[in-house]
Amino acid sequence: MDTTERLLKVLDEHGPRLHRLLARLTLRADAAEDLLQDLFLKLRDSTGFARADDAVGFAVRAAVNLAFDWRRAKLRRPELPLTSDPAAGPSDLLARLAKRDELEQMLAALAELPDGMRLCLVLRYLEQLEAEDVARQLGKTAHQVRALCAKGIAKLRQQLNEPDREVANG
Amino acid sequence: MDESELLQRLQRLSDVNPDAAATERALDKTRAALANAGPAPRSRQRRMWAHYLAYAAALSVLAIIGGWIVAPARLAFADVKDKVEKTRSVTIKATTTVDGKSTSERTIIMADGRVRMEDADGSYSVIDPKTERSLAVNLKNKTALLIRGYYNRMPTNIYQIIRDIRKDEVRKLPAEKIDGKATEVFIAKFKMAELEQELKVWVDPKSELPLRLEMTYKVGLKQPEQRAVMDLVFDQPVDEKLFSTEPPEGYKLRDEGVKEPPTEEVKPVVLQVLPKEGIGPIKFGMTQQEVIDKIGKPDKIDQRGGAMDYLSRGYSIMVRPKRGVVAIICYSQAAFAVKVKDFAGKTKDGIGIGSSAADIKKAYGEPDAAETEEATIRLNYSKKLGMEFTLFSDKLVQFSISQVP
Repeated sequence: MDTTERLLKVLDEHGPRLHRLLARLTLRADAAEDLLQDLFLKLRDSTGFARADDAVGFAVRAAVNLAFDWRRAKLRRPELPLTSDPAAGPSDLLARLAKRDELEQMLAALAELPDGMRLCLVLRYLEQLEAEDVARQLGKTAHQVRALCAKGIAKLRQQLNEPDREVANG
Repeated sequence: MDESELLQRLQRLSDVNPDAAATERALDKTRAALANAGPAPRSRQRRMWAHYLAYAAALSVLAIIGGWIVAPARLAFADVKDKVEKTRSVTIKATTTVDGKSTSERTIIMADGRVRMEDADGSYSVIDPKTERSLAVNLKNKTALLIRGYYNRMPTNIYQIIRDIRKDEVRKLPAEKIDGKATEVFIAKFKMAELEQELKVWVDPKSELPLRLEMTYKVGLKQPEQRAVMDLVFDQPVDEKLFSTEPPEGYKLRDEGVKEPPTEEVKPVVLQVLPKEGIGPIKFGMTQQEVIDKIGKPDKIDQRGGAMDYLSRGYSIMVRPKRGVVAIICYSQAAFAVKVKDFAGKTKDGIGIGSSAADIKKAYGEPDAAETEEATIRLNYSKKLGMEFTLFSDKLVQFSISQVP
């Protein structure tokens, strides 16, 4: 199977999952759409992907890195919402704003973690994989993954509790 | 923040899901990019598809009743009018076909204006114009949305429709049979969503009431053509409980609007909108108490105290415990199903509710991003001004002002 066939297979079978992951990490419909294209074009040119035993795991890791690179580079075009459901009332709109604010701060805190720790948390809590599955993807033991996640959670708490980056209770 | 709260927030992040249409579009574009075929054409998202269809079905039957009554033909239309006006309800089973895919739903319309729309999965919506309440129940997610002070934007009262309908043209076609029953057949024209629509109508000559309607129409100029077939039964026994707007037990309830209009009369004060600062005396960073001290109590406080709704003045304020006011939304009735008063304030450049896209661009230049979907335009000036504008049919209906980092 050549690289293009391999890519198309990953896209067909795991494209929706990768797009969903990118949407969660960017909170932007337009960015998730663009990054999915960037991801597959990068994978096409990647020797690592061509050699990887676990093509899907490689693509997931690349997607996480790409999304956080995007966040760090602040390539922030104005927001196009993830959904366009009409609001029933003003509280509905404010709730969306509040939720978005909260999620943005969580992602900003995740972006400050070391790469391995961040990837571990993303796979465990955003992708909701079991520790054993995360371990398999990262080439670690489940025990190591659990320990890394616990450290990551502690760091996130510390960051989010800093007064100047308050995440409100709303 | 303790660990469980942090995990809940991570969970909320994992609950973020793009629309299926957005995923499909992204995959198509990626395939195209891989094949070096350039970007794929963007397919338009079909918003609130089921709701439009339900309204289309409801409107169409009401419209044909009106058209039928006023049109010149051989039958005694005055008698038909009398018959229709004497009915208490009509039950509609509508089958809609779009791009070869069919969906069915049932709508019951009462003569007093109450409407119940049922989806195929059992989810339903009830609108009661008298009590100004609306309840939408989603069986799959076990959620319910109750709107108090419901603003009914769609005409659902049969008799009002009949009074309002323009004189539509009705043309007679050869008689046909439906399920072995002889019917008179007509073609009627009427306007829906600003578009000329055509209906085929089968009428029972004995009861002089419509039995079936068929229409091919578009909910918007860019939307694909849809075909709806509606079978009608007048005065079918209807259980009153079906029109209850009390949320079912065990469902997660979200409510919007207020029970009663505010008792305190508010002095009409026109607030100036100040991008990056706030509106009138309300400035970003103020605490909830400071806001109340400046402009009085809101009609409703929601989101665990974070959202202050001044529905009777046309704006809502988001306040965070430590950061204070972080966003303000100004709106008009056209934007919501909840009863609100149109926001009366303007920016110093004269931009306010009702302004056009050209007015906004003239005042602030080209937006950072713009999105158009049918009659809705969104102009995003987040980077420049911390503002976003939403327009329906080129009229500003809502805008938000946020703190600019």
